[in-house]
Amino acid sequence: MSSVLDMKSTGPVPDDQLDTDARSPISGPPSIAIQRKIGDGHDLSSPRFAGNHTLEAVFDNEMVLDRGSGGPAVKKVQQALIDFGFRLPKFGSDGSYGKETRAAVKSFQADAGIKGKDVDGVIGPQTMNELDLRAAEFPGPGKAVGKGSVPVVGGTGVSVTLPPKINATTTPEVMAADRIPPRVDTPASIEVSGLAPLAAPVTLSIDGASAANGTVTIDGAATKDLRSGGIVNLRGGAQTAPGNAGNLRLVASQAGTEIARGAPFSVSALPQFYTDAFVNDLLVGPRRGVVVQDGWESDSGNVADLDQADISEQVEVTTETGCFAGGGGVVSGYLPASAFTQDTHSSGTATLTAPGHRVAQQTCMFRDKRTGVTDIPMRNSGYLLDRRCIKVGPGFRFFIKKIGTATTANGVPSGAGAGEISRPPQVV
Amino acid sequence: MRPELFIRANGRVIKAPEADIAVAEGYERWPDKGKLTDGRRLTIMASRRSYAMGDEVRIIHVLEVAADRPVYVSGPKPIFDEYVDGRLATAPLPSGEDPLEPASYDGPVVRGPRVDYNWDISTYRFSKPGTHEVLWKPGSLASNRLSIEVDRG
Repeated sequence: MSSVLDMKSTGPVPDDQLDTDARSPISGPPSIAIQRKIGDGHDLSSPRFAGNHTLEAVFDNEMVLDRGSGGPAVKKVQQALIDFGFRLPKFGSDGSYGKETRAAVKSFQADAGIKGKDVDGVIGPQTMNELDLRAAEFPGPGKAVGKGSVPVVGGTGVSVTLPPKINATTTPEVMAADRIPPRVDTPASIEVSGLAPLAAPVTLSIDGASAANGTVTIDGAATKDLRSGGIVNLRGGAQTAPGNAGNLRLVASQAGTEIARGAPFSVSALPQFYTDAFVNDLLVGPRRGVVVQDGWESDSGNVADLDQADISEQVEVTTETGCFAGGGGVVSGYLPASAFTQDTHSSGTATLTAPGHRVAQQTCMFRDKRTGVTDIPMRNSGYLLDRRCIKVGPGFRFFIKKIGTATTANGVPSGAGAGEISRPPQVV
Repeated sequence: MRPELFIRANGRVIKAPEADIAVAEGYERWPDKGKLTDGRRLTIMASRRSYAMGDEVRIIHVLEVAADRPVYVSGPKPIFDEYVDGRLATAPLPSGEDPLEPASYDGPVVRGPRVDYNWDISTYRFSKPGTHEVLWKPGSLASNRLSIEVDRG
């Protein structure tokens, strides 16, 4: 019992004045007159509790709430406890006063300054008074934001602002679909305000997570409790399967009620940061030139994650003179991004019969079946391709180089790729 | 995946018209593909077999390559040695040039098996009615013989 007043708490309440299903354990025989009458000068003051016959009766020392009690009055108290920050993790506000509710009441009693044996998990007049006072600090239920109108638990005036987009910085700006890569963290800034010290925390979770839609952890776990704003790290797990883009959302809730919902996104790795390295010269046969090893990164750190992405090379000629005139640019078409390729850059010896100069720009674009995007310029995939044919004595010398350069090819812009290949003159 | 075809326009390479891509999509079902020779097969296709005089006939070129053979995928690659009614209608294949492995090239070289649609689209207009025949015959390879019926429209 929370106070000696509870010891006086006796006397059954007429059934017609009870909340449905509310049954109070009675301790001792009736010894005082039943006072339970709203407007008797001893009423609960908080809007949350005022006017509830059962709770008024508890406040008037006519009954207690303890294990075995149930009904709307118990549900109100349970919800208040949750809003005040005392967790009922298993059963929540189910309207049934069980072991979990009793433990939460004991925690509340201790927090309210009730001492000794009165910290007993039973709600009598003193505990009811403390609950009523605490309720004045939490002005009552607010409006649930989001789907439905679940009994309000975000009733503490808490405000949560999620990022307008869940989108990794490695996502090209022109890409319409928001996504994060697997394996690496994508920070997301969360603003939380108005959360009272003892209110239930704001819980972040990922709605829609599944093997098909993709999975995401928040700071390494499925959910994350916040008491204030800050940065959380979202990390993609399973990638979104093709045809399931945009089914993931970051959701903020409080004690099970959604209070904010973010924009849709997917989990998908993207190619970036093209590299080229020398493999071999083409010094015999019908062509002169060079073979280079292409490479690139996945923004997940694992190229195997690019199994649903393809890359298309673009080459646009900007200068063609002499023996190189009339060639024009090319496009490779889409090739799997999960396997590196080798490029051949060559000119036919049959054409290298006069001086000439050819300059071409190379970039890449990609498509990603997971997010459904196509023709997206690939980050840092730009190169300059320079060929010259110079007459030396009776013959010609062929020069070729490929240098990482920020450029545009066939309308596809990109920053500089990595690598510089400049070959010694080749005899034609 | 859908075939990718490209054309040249104003110095750039752009996607071919949808109608051309639709023709290429029919490759798997095309009834008279070219003969498979040394792991390579050339096939030419058109959107239909009958045209009116003066209509543009667009010839789609397809190279099918068997396993492990190199494929020079970048293009559109030029068409050499195409014959219309027995007469050379394109530039001849340069001396010493492999018709399917262009010496002047920029891009990836991958391994078959692969179907490569990345060739120039040749266009013809016929001024005489009757049956006309198109044959792509670079080097020792030869495509199917594509018959085009032309009427007065």
